Amino acid sequence: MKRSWWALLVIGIVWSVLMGYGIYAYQTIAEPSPLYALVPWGAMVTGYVFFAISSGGVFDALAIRLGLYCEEEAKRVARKTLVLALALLIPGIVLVFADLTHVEHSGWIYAGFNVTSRIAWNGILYIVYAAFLVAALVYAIRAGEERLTSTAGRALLIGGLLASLALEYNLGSVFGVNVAVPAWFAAPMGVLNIALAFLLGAAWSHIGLGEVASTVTGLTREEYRRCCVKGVSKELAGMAVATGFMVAWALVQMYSWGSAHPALETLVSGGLAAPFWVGFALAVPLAIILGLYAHYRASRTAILAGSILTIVGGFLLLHSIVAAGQTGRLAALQSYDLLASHALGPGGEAKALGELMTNPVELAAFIGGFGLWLLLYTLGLGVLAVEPGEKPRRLLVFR
Amino acid sequence: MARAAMIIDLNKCTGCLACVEACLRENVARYTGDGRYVLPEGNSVFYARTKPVIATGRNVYVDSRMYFVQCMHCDNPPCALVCPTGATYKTKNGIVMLDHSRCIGCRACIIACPYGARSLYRGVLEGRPLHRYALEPGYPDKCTFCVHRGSTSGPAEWTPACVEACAFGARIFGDLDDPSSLVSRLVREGRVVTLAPELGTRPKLFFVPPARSMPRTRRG
Repeated sequence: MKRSWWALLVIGIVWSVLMGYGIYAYQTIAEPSPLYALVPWGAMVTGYVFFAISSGGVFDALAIRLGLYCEEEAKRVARKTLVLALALLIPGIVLVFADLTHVEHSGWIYAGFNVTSRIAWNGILYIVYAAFLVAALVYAIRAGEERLTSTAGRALLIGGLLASLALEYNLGSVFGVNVAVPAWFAAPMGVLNIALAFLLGAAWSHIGLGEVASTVTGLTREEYRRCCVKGVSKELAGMAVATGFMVAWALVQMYSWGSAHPALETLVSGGLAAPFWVGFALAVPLAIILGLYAHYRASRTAILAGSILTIVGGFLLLHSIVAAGQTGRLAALQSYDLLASHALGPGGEAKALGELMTNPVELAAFIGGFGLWLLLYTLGLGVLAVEPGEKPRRLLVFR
Repeated sequence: MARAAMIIDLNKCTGCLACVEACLRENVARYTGDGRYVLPEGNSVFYARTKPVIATGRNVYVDSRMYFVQCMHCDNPPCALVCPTGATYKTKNGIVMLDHSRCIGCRACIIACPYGARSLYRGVLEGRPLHRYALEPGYPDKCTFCVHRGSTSGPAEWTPACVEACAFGARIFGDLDDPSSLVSRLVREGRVVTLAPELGTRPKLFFVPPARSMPRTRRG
């Protein structure tokens, strides 16, 4: 193994400790606060959506390139891309369970399946998507990436694409579905999530393939530049346009529906304006500019900067919208308004925003998720047969 | 079929909060075994299953400054709709309940409730709960109409703790489907209102607005 592989592995392990600490601290909270009821969905909830749609976005682009268009160039990086998608999905699933206050009952999601619950459907869709993803990875390693454009390979990729799109839409709709208060978090959340998934997928593809894999595997920077830079940068710029359009649509809808005005005000000019507009600027105009620049100049620096800024901006954008839906209802629904003012006293909105945006325990778990991704991805690149044409020697898929 | 319901008559309510104290004693407090009862740390009233709220202006629905936030036991409960495990469910007699053994703690029910009726206590409570439906830390707690005093399938013939504690008869509990019950009669006569009926949740917690608002309510 290269020294860089070991270095990234150690960084991943150390970084993952942060996630372990965050999860442990969250699960053992013994401090009562009305905020747990008034604004219950913090950074860990947005965090698992973020990792899941990032994984979906990476997979979706590959599935479209190979499953729909049979692009030969995509085959060279197919195995590594599938490992990347899997390594992103796992921190998301870990955060899903870590966020539950009674994880020991989680088997009831399946045993007591409630068809009207979006969260219950997430439980199914996570498994279906993960099954297609793992099957496609095993198939690519066992049969070779060439076979990914065969009927069986395409069926796995397209099946995974459909499952992934459904998961991305459903994850967004969890925030959108509130029977009593429709469109509280804005109805386009499902579609916005899909656009954001492709955007984040492009950014992660560059980080995963263009930076990590080209450092620790046989994939050279030149090969990556030939096969992927133009496609990834075009996807980054294009999906930033789509994301910008969907965010604008969400804001217009909030503007037209009276009860969502407090959420809209918090987002555009209130307590969440800074993270929202910073997130928007990073994930939309800057991603478009840097994506286009990287596309026409084949600039690695531009695509790297665009990818990092998109990942930061994408999370800020998503989390601001999720947080605004929660603080907005404190102002819009009188019962919540009164409970919040009685329970939190003066400056209640600032306390609610502080809980949602800066809770150190939840942030540690989420930020630590990047370490778990790095650990799993580096490990996967090192121990799985991921080089083009490589035959596995041990246990079906290992080198 | 029985349908348990409650009416709070705001003409008779003096704001003494005996109902809140009774609820805390019945559903929230724990007995430590050494003669002591303990309550949640911090603002215990926030964890009562009936929470008094005082608005700066009049509530548009009940036309009063003071009213109560608690589970409305909706006929169409959004919290049960979003619950992934069926832990929040409606009993045969229309009470919205939480099955602790199924709840995963995703808090979707808290998000879905438009009334703020659910609270979540994440502190430590020593001692044992006083009954099987009492508050448990880490679960989205809610009013059960003190169903442990009666049954989840039979007629609503028991008396919840808050009703029992009210010295002025401001709280009335009974069966909405029994034409002879006071609850049913007051609802039939149109003397009650609900919070946010436009949301379509069809709450079964009703309020009798202050007398001066009655003519307007009747017109509505």
